[in-house]
Amino acid sequence: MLVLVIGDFHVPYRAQALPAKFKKLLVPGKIQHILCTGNLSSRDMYDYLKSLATDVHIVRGEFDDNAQWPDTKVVTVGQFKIGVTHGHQLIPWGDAAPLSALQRQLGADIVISGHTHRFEAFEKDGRFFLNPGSATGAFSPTQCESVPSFALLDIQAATVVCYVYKLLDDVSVERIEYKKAV
Amino acid sequence: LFWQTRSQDMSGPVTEDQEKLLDEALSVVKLQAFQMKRCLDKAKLMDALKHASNMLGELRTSLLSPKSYYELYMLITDEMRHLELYLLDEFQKGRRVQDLYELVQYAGNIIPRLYLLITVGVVYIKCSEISRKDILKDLVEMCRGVQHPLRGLFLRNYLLQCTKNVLPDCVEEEQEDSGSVSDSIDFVLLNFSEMNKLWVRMQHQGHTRERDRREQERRELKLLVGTNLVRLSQLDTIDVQRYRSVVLPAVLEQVVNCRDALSQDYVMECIIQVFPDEYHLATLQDFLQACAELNPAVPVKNILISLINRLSAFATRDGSNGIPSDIPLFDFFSEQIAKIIENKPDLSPEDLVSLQAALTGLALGVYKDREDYVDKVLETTNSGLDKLGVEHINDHSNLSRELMKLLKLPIDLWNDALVLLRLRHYSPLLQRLDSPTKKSVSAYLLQNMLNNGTLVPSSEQVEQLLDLVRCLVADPGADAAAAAADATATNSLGGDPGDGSANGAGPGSEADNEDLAEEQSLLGRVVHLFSTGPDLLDEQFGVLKTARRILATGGGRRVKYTLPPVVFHSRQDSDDKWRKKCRKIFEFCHSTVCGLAKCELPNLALRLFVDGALVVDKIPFDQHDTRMTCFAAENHEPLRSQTVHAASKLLRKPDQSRAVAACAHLFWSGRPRELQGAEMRDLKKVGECLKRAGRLASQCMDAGLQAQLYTELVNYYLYFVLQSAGQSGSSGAACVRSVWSVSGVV
Repeated sequence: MLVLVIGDFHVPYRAQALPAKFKKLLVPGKIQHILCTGNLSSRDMYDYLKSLATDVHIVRGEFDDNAQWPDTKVVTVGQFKIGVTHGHQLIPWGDAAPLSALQRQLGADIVISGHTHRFEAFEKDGRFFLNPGSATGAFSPTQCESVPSFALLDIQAATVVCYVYKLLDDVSVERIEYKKAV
Repeated sequence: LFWQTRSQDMSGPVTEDQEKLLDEALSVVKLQAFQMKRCLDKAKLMDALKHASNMLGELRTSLLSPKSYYELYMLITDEMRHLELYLLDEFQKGRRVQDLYELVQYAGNIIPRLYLLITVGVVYIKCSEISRKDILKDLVEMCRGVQHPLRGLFLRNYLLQCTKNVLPDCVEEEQEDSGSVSDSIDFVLLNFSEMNKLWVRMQHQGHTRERDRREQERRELKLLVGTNLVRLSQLDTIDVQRYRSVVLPAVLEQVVNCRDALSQDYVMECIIQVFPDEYHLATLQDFLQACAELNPAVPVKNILISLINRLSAFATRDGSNGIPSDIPLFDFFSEQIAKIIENKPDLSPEDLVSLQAALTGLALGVYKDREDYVDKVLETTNSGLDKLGVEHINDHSNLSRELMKLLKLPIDLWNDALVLLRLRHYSPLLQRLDSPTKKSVSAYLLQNMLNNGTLVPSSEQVEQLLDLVRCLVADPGADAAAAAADATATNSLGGDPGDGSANGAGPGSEADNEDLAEEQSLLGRVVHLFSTGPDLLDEQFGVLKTARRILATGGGRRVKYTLPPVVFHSRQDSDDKWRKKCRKIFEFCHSTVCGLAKCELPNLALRLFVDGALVVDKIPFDQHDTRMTCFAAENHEPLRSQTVHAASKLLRKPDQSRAVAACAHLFWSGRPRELQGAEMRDLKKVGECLKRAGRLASQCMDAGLQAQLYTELVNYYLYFVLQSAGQSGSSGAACVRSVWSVSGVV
């Protein structure tokens, strides 16, 4: 089961488009679910995500107009409860402690957040925390050099393999594995 | 093959008659063919010829429609192949029948006689080439004997079919007796002109009432005439020289002189398609000259477009040497088109535009670097439309579609919007379109810029571009507001971008809003292309100022999409020189955001202010009164308490509770300047906030929601307990006690 984790596009406010090299990688029909950390900023990006997969879950970032999108969302994929939030609500931003607090509140196995525009993935207390960074490498006041990135989760039974795609000069891929504690 | 596109124009009884007549004829043919083959098997040639003659006699009919006549012809010519093969076989075995060529001429009727003569003549040629030249000449002359159009056309088609592989195809010196290519040319040209005459004459036979049907029937027969040209194009010895001096002049003379629109239209098109591009290039002037002399009813436009498209494709094809530099292709065509427009006052505007579009395609395809050519075409188009008195171009009209096609050509072929900006006549032509089409072309241009990453490096170009796509930038009629905004913006940086908001902020329908959102986010994305590059950051600021000044005229519904990119774009660079201008830039951002705030977009403005403050925080620059970590206790304290106060004033109880609980972070993670970067970690105040949040939660009427709030609060306590665990034991214990007290409330 492939789950795309992506967000913080900021099109058109901070970026003109998703990098072409990413667009080439993301083909319709391969991905089952999309979990988006918000800040799409425009309808274009939503339409784009919808064209990749039918099951799209979006939480609201501080630059999103759509009041229908919730602050947090819990999606169950296979054996995993995945909590998603944009992350500007968690103080201090990007800090592990408030992320843990959110994990407790949602009772999630995996917590996905964005906002910092910096890719991050770590395990803490047996849970997996993932920040896909900004898909467009958009400017952030707290992050001078933002690298475009997103993540793809391959979920099989109690194992998640997380592939991280970063755009430096070319697209680089890293692999991180997380097993659910029994 | 001929009838595939045929419309059902014959009425019922006629069709039935036709079927009956055809069936009768076909059964006669089958019977005679059977007997002919039996006689051939028995080597009774004279009897076989008699049956063949009887079979061919069926082609004498004038009752059949072209379609039925074609079916009959196909069956008969198929059977005739048996006879031909038999004769070839006999001849090759040396059993030459004496005087056969003269013998068949005794056939009683002219139609069977000529078909037999052709068959035998070709057998003679195939067996010995010595008299080839004379036989061919003889045959094509003898065919004059049939002047009935339908019968004549098919007879000559038979001649053409049978001689397909026996036409002499060598230069004069080589073969004296058996003929040379010039004999072949004479042969085919004569056949062509005779067939064309027959074809034209069909139009003038019978009742005028049936004119439309006759035209239809003629269209079905056009391939018979065109086969002559195909045959010519298959002769390898016809080089450019021969084509220019012999073939083309004769064909053109025939076409021009026949004055028949249908024939001219078809044959001209046929010439373009059948002969190679190099030949067209060498004879361009003759061809265009002939075009000008055609019957006014001929749609010359289609012929020219077809020729231009072919030559454009030829010039850009891989492996071709391009158009030779001594042929001023563009000038030829533009003069010719000018002539056509002059001579045809009734030319429709869409035809005018599609002609010019073909010319634009030629200029772009063949002369990639000649912007002036394209500009010239655009100018001619513009003045042409003026002369025709075209004022309003309705959406969905053909004219609108053609013009859109024309305007998209340079976008597609150059992939460089900056070149477009240099054209003087592009914008005026674009502005002629009705609003939706104009917007669609403008959006197409912007999308092309995004796809190609076309950077716009100067203020002038930004201004030109935004002027070109002005239908997306502002509502028509916002010009006055634009002028006003211009004035304020040049006086001071604090020019108010909200000025234009009043006229543009109408509510609009749902669909309108969606379209607008799409257009404007496109425009917003393009703002990121307004970039001077790393060496000219000084000018970058000017570029963005220009962008803001113009985009600000768009009104509240638009600036929502277009101005934030300006703000972010201006904040992104961190070069040293750029930093020196920080103050100016932040003032610029500040005034832009203020403008947004006035456009009833407080939320967006607030977010931009907060982000702006964060950026200021990061940059080492002198006047940082607004920095986030710069607050001394005297300022930090009132800010904190005001925030808590505001939080408790929210409308709904659950919101109050949650907001106040969130304020607890202020007293924990807050960093007044005195602490030099350390967090204040005021556990007492944190506790107060959480208690207050608990009280507010207890006032909540919905029991389920209340339980949710308490759960969240417990989570807050837990967070602070864990945070303070590293600190002195007593405060940690105090916090744990607080947790218990909340649990008690729950």
